[in-house]
Amino acid sequence: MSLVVVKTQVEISNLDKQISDSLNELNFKIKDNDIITIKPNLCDYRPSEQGGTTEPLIVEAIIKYIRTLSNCPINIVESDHALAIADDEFERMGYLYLGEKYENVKLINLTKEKQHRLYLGGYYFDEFSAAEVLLKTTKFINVAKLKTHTQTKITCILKNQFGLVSRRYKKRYHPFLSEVILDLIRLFPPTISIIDGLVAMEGSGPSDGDRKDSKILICGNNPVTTDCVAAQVMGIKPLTVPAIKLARKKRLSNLQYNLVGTIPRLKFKQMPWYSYLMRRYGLNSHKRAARKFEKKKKRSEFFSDVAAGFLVLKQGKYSTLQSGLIDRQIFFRVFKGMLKRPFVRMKLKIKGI
Amino acid sequence: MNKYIRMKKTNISLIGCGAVAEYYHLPVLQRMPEFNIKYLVDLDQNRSTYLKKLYRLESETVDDLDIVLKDDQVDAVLLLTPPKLHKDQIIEVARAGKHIFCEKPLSMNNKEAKEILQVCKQENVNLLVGYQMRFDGKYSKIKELISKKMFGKIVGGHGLHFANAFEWPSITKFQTDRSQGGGALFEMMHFVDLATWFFGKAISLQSQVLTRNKKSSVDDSAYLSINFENDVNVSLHIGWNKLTVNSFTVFGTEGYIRALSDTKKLHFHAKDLLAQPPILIRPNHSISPFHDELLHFHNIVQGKEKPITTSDEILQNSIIIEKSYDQQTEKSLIILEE
Repeated sequence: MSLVVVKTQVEISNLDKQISDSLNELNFKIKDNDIITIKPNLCDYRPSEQGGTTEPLIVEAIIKYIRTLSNCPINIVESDHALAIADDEFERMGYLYLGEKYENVKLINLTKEKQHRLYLGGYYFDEFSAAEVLLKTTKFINVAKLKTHTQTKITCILKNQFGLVSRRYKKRYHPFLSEVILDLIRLFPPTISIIDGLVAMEGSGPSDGDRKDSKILICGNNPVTTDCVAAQVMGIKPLTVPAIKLARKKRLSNLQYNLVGTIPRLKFKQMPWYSYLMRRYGLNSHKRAARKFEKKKKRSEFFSDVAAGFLVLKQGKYSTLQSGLIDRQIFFRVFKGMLKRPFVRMKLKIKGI
Repeated sequence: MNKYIRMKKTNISLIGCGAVAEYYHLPVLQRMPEFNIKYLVDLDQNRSTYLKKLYRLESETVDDLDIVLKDDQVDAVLLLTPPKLHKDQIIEVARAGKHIFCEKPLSMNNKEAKEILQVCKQENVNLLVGYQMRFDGKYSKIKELISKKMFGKIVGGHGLHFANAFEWPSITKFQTDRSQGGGALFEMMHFVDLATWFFGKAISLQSQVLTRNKKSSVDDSAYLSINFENDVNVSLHIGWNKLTVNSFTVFGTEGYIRALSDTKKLHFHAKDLLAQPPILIRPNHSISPFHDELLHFHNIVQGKEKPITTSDEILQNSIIIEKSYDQQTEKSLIILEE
């Protein structure tokens, strides 16, 4: 049975000890011929103290622990994403010093790595291009952030696997996120899963939510059960998380685990249920459309916009990186435009244009 | 740990907690690991406390600028107050040796702009004016293509900038008061700056500044024709109305390029490609103009880059605006009557 360790009252000052205690409890062993890959969560440019990305000091604590056992190579990996390239993320999120301070530690951009085509026959991928560094890895450590997510309810270990897709623009996979994640879990199963909840994010994560000081660290040897515990911490029923639900359905995990420590029940602010449902409907609609008619893909964007609109109505304000703050007044202007659009088109049609 | 610094952060203070801070700067700063917001300064402490709570910041809220100026840990300030206050505040901040990012417009007139630039030079502090259009991927691409002589000899340009500034939720509503630094041309001087950035030194201009909306207490439309050196003529149309449009076209002897706010790519029409659709050009990668602008400011403070807005350009923009208002009299219009 899998094991999940929960540490509370974690501070930067006692981080090294908490990490090494957790890894000891999980009986994490390393040999000299191991090649270790660590995957932090570096989406967007929101720093760790704002709850957006993995705290580099946690990665450093893991490196320190590994170095007490072996001098084996350690790769810290991330792929480019729509907003940023991984090299920039490493620099701006303060990861570069790890490569300078520790011997045999490299920061690797998966998108720029040599790719190998694999015949996978997975839930989503028939074929998959994997970065060479991942294929050489013998032990994989997934270090995610404790966050809520507008589309997948939570973004922890399972969602962090998504960053192993080397392609920069990953939007095409979003409707099939659960299937893609399970393929990646099967292909690159994390030996250790660690969730950084020092400063977490609630509300409209993964990037536009609000920071929440939670001082918690969750470590496990199974990605699915570690996420189950994370969901409970945030006050979410694990089986309402699409990826966990699918993992159980496909028998990747029976969701049984032994717990070390207690699960603190922190009340995380969540998306309003109607906004979440609208997003899921949009994604599912995209999924069906992608299978049938390519043209109908835009439908999901419409539902996604409506879902964001619901969020603005509920919260009053919704801040984004690209558009700044959207308030109700701006929402109503956009909504008015959406309503007006078919009439403008009709008018043009009537006039024979 | 000292030898290996994770990142050198810029300690900043926000002076003015109005709409531009709430709607644009704070959502972006929240996502920038380069900055540490030490103070939120506003005379109305309710506003600064509200923003602190809204964005869950750990900054101090103060109502006295002197506290910021006396704090040696503060490297720079973001000046987000109404234009009328800029001159005095910039001089105070510069004398305290702090770098300055100032939202446009920099000053109420050319005399003030000169004074500001002189003090900044004397005190050896960097000044960046918030002309964020320069960081828009489309316009920075056009600038790049102009410098690569993609359009041959530049003949002219045309800019259209419509927005509903009446609805801008500023606390003081300064945009509708000329004495506070409001008005169409003054408040929406981005395209004047783009023209300066693209085409260089301006030689002469003709202008018409009007109030079209009957309820408006300030000018809300402006038409400018500016002649730049090397026979480049640019016309700009700026207006406050219910349309939101940004478009800029640059004409050259080898073709023309158009950036339109609603399209993702630039449309390039090359010479001799008759009756053919435009060639689409991908703009430069930009997360958001505000983000890239503040990243540039961080690099300026850290001594890695020089301000993109030079003193000459700042002064030229200021002169163009001032002269346009001077020349606006309707006497110079030729009325066409039967």
